[in-house]
Order: sequence, then structure tokens, then C-alpha cells
Amino acid sequence: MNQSLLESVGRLRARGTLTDSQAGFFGRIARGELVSVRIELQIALWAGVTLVAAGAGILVKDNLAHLGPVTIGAGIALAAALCLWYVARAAPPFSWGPVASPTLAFDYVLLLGVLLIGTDFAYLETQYKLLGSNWPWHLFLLSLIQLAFAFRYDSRAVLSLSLASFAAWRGVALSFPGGALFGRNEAAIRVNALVVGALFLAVGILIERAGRKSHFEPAFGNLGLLLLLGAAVAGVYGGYGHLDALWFPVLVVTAATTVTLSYRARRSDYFAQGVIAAYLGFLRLAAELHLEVGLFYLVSAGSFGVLLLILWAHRRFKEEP
Amino acid sequence: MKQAWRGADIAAELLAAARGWRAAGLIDETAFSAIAADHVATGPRLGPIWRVLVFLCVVVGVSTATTISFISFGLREATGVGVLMLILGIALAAITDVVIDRCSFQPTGAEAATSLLAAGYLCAAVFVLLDDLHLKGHEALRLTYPWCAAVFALAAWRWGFRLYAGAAALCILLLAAQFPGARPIWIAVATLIAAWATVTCATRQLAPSHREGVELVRIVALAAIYVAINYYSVDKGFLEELGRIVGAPRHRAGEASLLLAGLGSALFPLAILMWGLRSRDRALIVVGIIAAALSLTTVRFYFHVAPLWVVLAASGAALAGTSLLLERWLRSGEDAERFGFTAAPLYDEGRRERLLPVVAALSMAPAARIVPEELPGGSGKGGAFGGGGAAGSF
Repeated sequence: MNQSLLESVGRLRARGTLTDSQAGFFGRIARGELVSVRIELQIALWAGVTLVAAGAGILVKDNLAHLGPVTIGAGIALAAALCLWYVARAAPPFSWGPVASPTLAFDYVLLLGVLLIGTDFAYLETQYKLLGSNWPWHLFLLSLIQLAFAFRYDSRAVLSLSLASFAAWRGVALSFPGGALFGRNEAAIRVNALVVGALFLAVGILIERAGRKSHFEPAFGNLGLLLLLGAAVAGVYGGYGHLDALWFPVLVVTAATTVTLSYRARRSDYFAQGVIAAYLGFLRLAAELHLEVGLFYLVSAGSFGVLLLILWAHRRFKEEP
Repeated sequence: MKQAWRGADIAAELLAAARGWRAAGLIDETAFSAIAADHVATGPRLGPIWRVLVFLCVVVGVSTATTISFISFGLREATGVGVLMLILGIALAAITDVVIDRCSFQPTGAEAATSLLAAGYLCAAVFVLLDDLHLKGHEALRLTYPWCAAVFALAAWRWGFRLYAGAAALCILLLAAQFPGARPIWIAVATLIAAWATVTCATRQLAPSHREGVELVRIVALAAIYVAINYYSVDKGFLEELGRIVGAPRHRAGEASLLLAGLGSALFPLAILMWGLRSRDRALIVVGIIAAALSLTTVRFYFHVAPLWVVLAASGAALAGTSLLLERWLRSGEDAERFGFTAAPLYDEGRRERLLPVVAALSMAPAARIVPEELPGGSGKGGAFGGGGAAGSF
């Protein structure tokens, strides 16, 4: 029982802030007589979808010789079709605005369907080499299909997957962009990440201005900035012991632009990313100066300086009580 | 915890609940504004992103300032370092008090950083000082763990950070593992902690942060009991390894122990699940489900029930299917609830509800193509099975 919340509810009822029925309902919640298991059900759904998708991946990998490519390809396609059939049946009409999911399972069944399409695509491409040396284009094709599903069924999850597939097409992993830091072709990956990030940001701005699925803008914006700033930071840190003279200005420009524009637009999430990137750039520059003990003074002063900047800047980003 | 902090804690809990009720459509904007207006004394909130930024800046700033102080004082001896860490830890604890007391924004992230550094310094100081006294191994750990437990418990009690309460419980358990007969002592201590936490939650009127801390202690204790009775853990002697002296023979579990562990692995998750359902305690239900999943994984480890893909697909389908059926069953009940459970959102599940599928999708994003392999005229090696949850190259 949550005694403090129960007493607060009682006080609010006595003051007339809450009605009798509201106070009764919230009192039940505070006493633990009514409990929501919504999040637990969602986590179970997510775990279920993950396990099924992983099982499908292992099935393809382990049983190719026994079952044959046609059986496997058709089986996965059938499973994907079943998922998407459910989605098509349950889906509300299309709208350019936000559309609430009709059921708890809707987003996850859609996600499973789209993931199975991805598995089938990758499998067929690997098996039959339909695109030959242009095999990475299957990721591009997949991202377009996922984008279409995301817009039709108003799914942020599938949209994120689509953007990740698009980035993967250009060799950039959104989940762990370590390849952009070290590796044989890290410079090319960083440039790709910069371009893809800029493209995501541009699309985000475009859909917001057009008022078409403008609630998708944060997904485009955040992933775009992650790539843009991530590439610049990776460039600054990935110089094999030397500060890269080319990437450092890139980081300064991208971080400064992000901080300035997000400050004007009052976007705290973008502002924070800009500050973190600038701070990481500052730390790298401080390390480059070889100041020995002075380095610690610089880093300490810099950290408290950023702290003051944050406390000064946050006034513009009003938080609700 | 000071009385004023307790009041602010209760007000913050109510405001958080009110935000959740509003997000779930249970109260309107007018009611929310009235609740918020009644609790202006708690001050405006600093959002999570800001708090993380402030936390990072304070941690980096204070850590480097500490290094500067070591260099400035020319400290090289363990005694000097240990004493200075003790002084800095106490100073940071005092600063934490001041931040919580005086800062108009609550929480800021700064108090989390200074409290973490204070607890960390105080714990590290004892390690350093014991090392200076040439105490090593079990002797040192038997003194360090109770000290750390006391530091974390004090931090949890004073500032209300629940993670410190969990850390204190863990330190006590680790201390129990340092004695001969580690497993029975571990189980006995964990049982006592779980019982104490259950009774305290049920009988004492605690501040919200303290209540959450005690609940976390109970979860840590129950998880510890499961770790001690899990068949795999008994078979491999994990707990005995914690307290094993270097060079001593490894512990071998007897048949009776393994039999009891088998029974425990099967019955403990069910018991916790039943307890959670009866008391409508979400945390216990989650612990029961996770313990059951771990027990099933243990069975799969020892018995080859079916090919891995069958196990994964079947358990995934069962999990997803069960949650769907449960949701439908709960929704079809009177007022969309059954036995006190509902699948409707009651608090601020909205944000998590939006984020969870996105996290799920990104966790299964396809592997990126490998740029260096895209040679002109080359055929490539094909993509990984990304998008299907398996990232292995085909």
C-alpha cells in the first residue's frame, strides 16, 4: 500500500480537486487494489517477437541443407504475410496525423512481420544473388518497404527500423557505430554517416513543415543528429593518436550549429546532443595540448564551465512542474 | 532524511502520479493544474536529459579536481591518499546535503553525482587504507564489505536514492559469501533481508524514496536466494567461488545439494509468482517470471529438448501468445479488470509505451554492410540476416 499517495488523494478530495469517483479510483490504485500490468505485457510481447525472429534466423542458418531454399523462403514469407494480414485487418484508416494503435499487439505484430520480410529478403538475396555485386541495395529496398509500412500504419518502431536499414545500406550501424571510429575504411563510413544524418534531418524538417506525419520528426531528427555528431566525434577521436585537422572543424561546426539552432527552437534533446558532442571535442582538444597537470585543471574548469552553461541555458527550455 | 525533504519527496510522488493520471486521461488539465499549483514549493523540474548532462559534468569535474588535489598535495603514500579520500568523501556528502537543501530545481542530477562520488570515495578510502595495513584477501573483504554496506545504507537513508539501498544489500550478501559454508549463510542472510524488507514495507509509513529503496532491497534479496538455489549455480559452485581462497580446491556439489537445487529451481519461481499475484505486486511477478525463464534456460542447458530454433520460436510464440490472451482476458472483464489487474494504463506508461517498440526495433536492426568488402567488380559476401533478429553472417 502506498500510504503517502493515499493520504494525498484524500487531501485532494477534501479540497474538491478530485471528484468522488476519481478519488475512489486513485485510492484503489494507492492501496494496491488495482494494478496495471500493461508494461509487463508489452515487454513479454517484445521478448516474444525477438525470440521468434531470432528462431527464424537460426532456422534459416542451420536447416538450409535439410529443408531447401524454396521451403525456407516460402515459410518465412508465409509467416510474414500472416502477420501483415492481421495488421491490415486491424489497422485504422490512414491519417497524416498520429493514429493510436488499435490493440496492444498491433505494433509488435507489425514489427514481427516487417522483421520477417527483412530476414526473407536477406535470405533470398544471399541464396540467389539477385542483385549480384550490388547486394547492399537490398537494404535500401528493405528500408523503403519499411518506410511505407511505417507511414501507412503510423509506427515509430518500424520507422526507426527503416532508418536503421537505410543507414546500414550506407555501411553505418545505428546500434553500434564503432566502425566509424576505427577500421580499415572508417573515413568513408564517417562521410556516409554525415550525409545520411544530414538527409534524415532534412526529411525531419520537411515533414514537420509540410504537416505530414510531423510526429515522426523526432525520430528523423534524433537519429540524424546521432549520425551527424557521432561521425564528427568519431573523426576527432579516430586519428590514431593525432587530432584530425579536418574532422575537428567539422565537429566544431556541427556541434555549434546544433546547439545554436536547438537553443532557438527550444529543443532540449537536440541541445543536449550538441553539448555532449562539443564537450567530447573539448576533451579531445585538451588531451592534444599535452599540458600534463594543466590538463586536469583544463578538464575540471571545462566541466564546471559546461555545467554553468547548461544551468544558464535550461531556463529557455521550460519544464512543466 | 530531513522532514522538508520528506515533504518534497511526497509532493514529487503525487505530481508524478498526477502527470501519469493526466497522460492516461484519468484527470483533465484543470485538475492537474490545481494539483501542480498546490505543490509549487517543490520547485520546477529539470528534465532527464538535463539531469544526465549535469551528472556527467559534475562527475568529470569533481574527479579531475580530485586528481589535481592528489598532485597538488604531492600524495604518493597509501595513507595520505586514503585519508584525503575520506576527507573528500565527507566533503562531498556535505555538498550533497547543501544541493538537496538549497537548489531550487529538484532533482538536478548534481546531487546524484556528488552522492555517488561521496559513497565511492568513502568505500575506496577503506580499500586503500586496508592495503596500507597489509590486509589482503578475505581479511580485507570482511572489513570492506560491512563498511561499504554501512556507507550505502546511510546514503540511501539520508538522501533517498534507492540504488544505494540495493547496493547495501548486495554488500551484506557478498560479506556472507566470505565465510565457510557460504551458500547456507548466503541463503539465510538473503531470507532475513527479504523478510525484514517485506515487514518494513507492510508496517512502517515510509517516505516514497525509502519505500522504493526497501522494495529494491527485497528484490535483491529474492534474486540472491534464487542465485543460491539455481541448479546451474549449485552445480558450478558460483557462491563458493566468491569466497574461495586462492589455491584451495574447487567446491563440488553433492547429489543431495543438486537434488534440492533442482527442486528449488522449479518451485521458487512458482512460489514468488504466486506471492506476487496474490499480493498484486508487480515487482514480485516480474521476479517470478524472470526466475521461471532462467529455470527453463537451465533445463535447456542440461537437457537437449529440441533444436535451438524450435525452442526460441516456440517460447517466443508462447510468450507473445500468452501476453495477448492475458491482455484480451483482462480487457474483457468488468471495468476492464480482473482480480485487481488491468491492462489499461494507470500511470505514465505513455512515454515508455512509445519508446519500448522503438528500442525493440533498433535492437533488431540489420547489420550494416561492410564497406571495405564492396570492391569494384566484387561479388560481395552477402548480407547478414539482419532484420530477422539474427546478425550472424550467412
